[in-house]
Amino acid sequence: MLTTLVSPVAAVEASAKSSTQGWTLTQQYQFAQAQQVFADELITNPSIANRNTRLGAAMAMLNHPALKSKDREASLDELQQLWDSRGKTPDRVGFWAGYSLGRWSQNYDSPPDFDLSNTWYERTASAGDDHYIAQLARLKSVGLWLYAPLKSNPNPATRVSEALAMDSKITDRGLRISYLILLIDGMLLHQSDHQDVLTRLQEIWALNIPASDTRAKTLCQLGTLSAMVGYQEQAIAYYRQFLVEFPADIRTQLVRDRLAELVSTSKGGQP
Amino acid sequence: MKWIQLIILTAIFGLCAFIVISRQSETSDSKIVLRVSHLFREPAAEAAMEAIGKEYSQLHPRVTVKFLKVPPSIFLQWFRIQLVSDAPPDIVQYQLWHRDLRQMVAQGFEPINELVEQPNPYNRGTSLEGIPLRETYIDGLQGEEAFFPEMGAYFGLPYRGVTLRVVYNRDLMAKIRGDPDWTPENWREFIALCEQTVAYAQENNLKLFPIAADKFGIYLMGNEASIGVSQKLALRTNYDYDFTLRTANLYPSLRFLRGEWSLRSPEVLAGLDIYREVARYMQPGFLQFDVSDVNFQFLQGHALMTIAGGPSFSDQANFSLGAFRIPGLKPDDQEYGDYVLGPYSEATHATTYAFGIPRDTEQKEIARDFLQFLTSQQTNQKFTQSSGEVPVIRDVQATPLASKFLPHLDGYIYGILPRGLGNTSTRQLFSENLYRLFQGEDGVEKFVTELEEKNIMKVTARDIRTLAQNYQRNLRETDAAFMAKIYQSEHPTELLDAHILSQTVFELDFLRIVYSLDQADKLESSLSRTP
Repeated sequence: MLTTLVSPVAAVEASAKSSTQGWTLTQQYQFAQAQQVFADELITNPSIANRNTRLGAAMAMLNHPALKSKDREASLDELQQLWDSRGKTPDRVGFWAGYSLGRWSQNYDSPPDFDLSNTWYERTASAGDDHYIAQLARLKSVGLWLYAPLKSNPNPATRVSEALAMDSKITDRGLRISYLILLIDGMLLHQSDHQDVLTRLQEIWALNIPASDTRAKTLCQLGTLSAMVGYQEQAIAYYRQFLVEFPADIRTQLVRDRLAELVSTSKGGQP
Repeated sequence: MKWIQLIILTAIFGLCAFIVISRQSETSDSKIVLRVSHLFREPAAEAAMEAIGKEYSQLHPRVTVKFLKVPPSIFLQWFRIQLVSDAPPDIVQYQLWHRDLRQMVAQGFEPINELVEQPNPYNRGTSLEGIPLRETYIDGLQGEEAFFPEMGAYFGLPYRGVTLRVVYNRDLMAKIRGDPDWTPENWREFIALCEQTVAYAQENNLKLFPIAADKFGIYLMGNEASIGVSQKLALRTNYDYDFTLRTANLYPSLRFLRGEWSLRSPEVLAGLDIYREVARYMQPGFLQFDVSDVNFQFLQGHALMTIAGGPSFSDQANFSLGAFRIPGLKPDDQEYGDYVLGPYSEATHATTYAFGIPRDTEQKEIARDFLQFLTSQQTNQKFTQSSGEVPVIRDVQATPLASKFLPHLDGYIYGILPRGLGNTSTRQLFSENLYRLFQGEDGVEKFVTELEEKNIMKVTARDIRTLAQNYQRNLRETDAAFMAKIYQSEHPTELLDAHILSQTVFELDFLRIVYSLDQADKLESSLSRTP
């Protein structure tokens, strides 16, 4: 308060600094401390504290280890208000508020309300086509369409077609990798055509997946699906690539066996 | 009644006192005290750890390493308290014997991906110089206590090799087989050895059994023996063709909930038969024994063999010990061969006792440096030689007995084990009824029928529902952290991509749980409608 009286500029700077501290603590999973920093800021500088701080306070509170039901309700109301006041072109806070309400219904409520969650994801997604958080919301919606017990009781084909409907709307590279991971798994679970799955696998492979376990899995799937749809030489190439990159993986022996089988039934040369 | 209250009160007091003592800060102005908790019970291993601490202090005179030995009996409670404490030890050694522990590590420990992908500076001048720390491990850090595939994150550096082996009395082996170093090549030879031991005992009127084991021992041995028989089942139900049972207990449980296998699957029934076959050669009443009874019987020469996860009790025997891997089933086995792929790879279960860094500790940099020192080739060599433990780092010379415990990395995937279903409640149901399996001629049928009547599907679903709540808790925390990360960066960066990818991989498991539980509900309601 004293800071505000002395210098408004300094007060704004101090507010921004404590907001940054709150987010840093949140990033470090120190939710109780983060909530305290955001709450202090809202009390000390109510005229300066902005929508960011309100969002931070609500999110930290919702993860507070000693969350009380009245605080939970107040935090959800705050998210709702931040969403309602998002404006025609939502700011970042507006997007996060909508997305977080979707996540709440999926991950906080027990039992989860997947339909409500999906509704929030769709609202957030439709608020801004290309925005990163709109794409993130779409990604989460794909997960629900593929796996969750939604009230519409979708059949396997509907689940996959709803997921495919998001295909052109998730363009960020990082999110696209995640989208393809979900889509490929869902397509295999719901027994989609193997050629279609293989096309998606080739797309994700072209994106150069960073994580080694996901990469190993993808190579293994590429080899197996290629063989299943009759592309023997391609399967051999993927399996060989696997053995080069993952010589001591839990899958290595099986890949070696499959490769030997393929080589013995084709003119593919030495395994 | 008062005695019980007094015992409980004393136990609580003891735990509290232990926690208070373990938290004492002993820092002085110039000194840094690095607090490291460990689980080693064996005096030799404990002394080896102390020596490592002293050596580190000689290299870094400002740092004193204080070790805290945590008794396994209180570990779970102690661990819970440390993770919410303001001042946990800087490094904690853990073992994931309880599923809650896995979740607790995921939530309360620092990911160490960066550390494991860098070369270990303490390996300069050795054969491992310049190699990423992950690759300096014998198992490539694939073990489930080090790497959490569902999060794409490394949390711990294991320090104990832990492959299961049959440990045997070489003197008795010489008398029974004529050669102290004879070991069976396959399952049938192993069973023949058991038969020969029974015959030898009868001929010489000895109180001698082929295998000394307790209740836990039958699980270990039964699992090891039957793990191959459901390998093809595991592969057949692998809908995503990734050739693994990643998250070894969860995936079989989800496949069970989706109705892809049952206790009446031929492979599972064959596995239960193998349990019975092994049990015939254990000392009578083994279900009532505990590990100390078993060690006593083996060390007294009343059993040819026992099962062990390491050579730790070798100094207690007054006879020489040999060890061999439980010979698995092979595809050429006449009875079970059709279900079998071959010996399984021990890569994901070769190490344990991982050292990790709690998220709330304040001395992360020094903790990281100490972990690098601890896992260097030279330090692991010294530890291995002084303790007799199995090395975890490549190119470290094992003692002759420990070398028998080095993991076999080549091999196939695990099969599906019924005891891996669900979590606590399912396992309790399994354990409570296990005795039925070993009774009479139709033990398998009685055991399976009882578990079906107790609705093992419902019990498994209940366990998995609880697990789903843990996933939800983890997801909401990572959501908040992810949001904060985005808030502090202008544009999504590679770091954010890595975060979203690991969350997706983790969330995929949650979504599979959700889907499988729904399938189980549908399966159950369709069965209840069937007249």
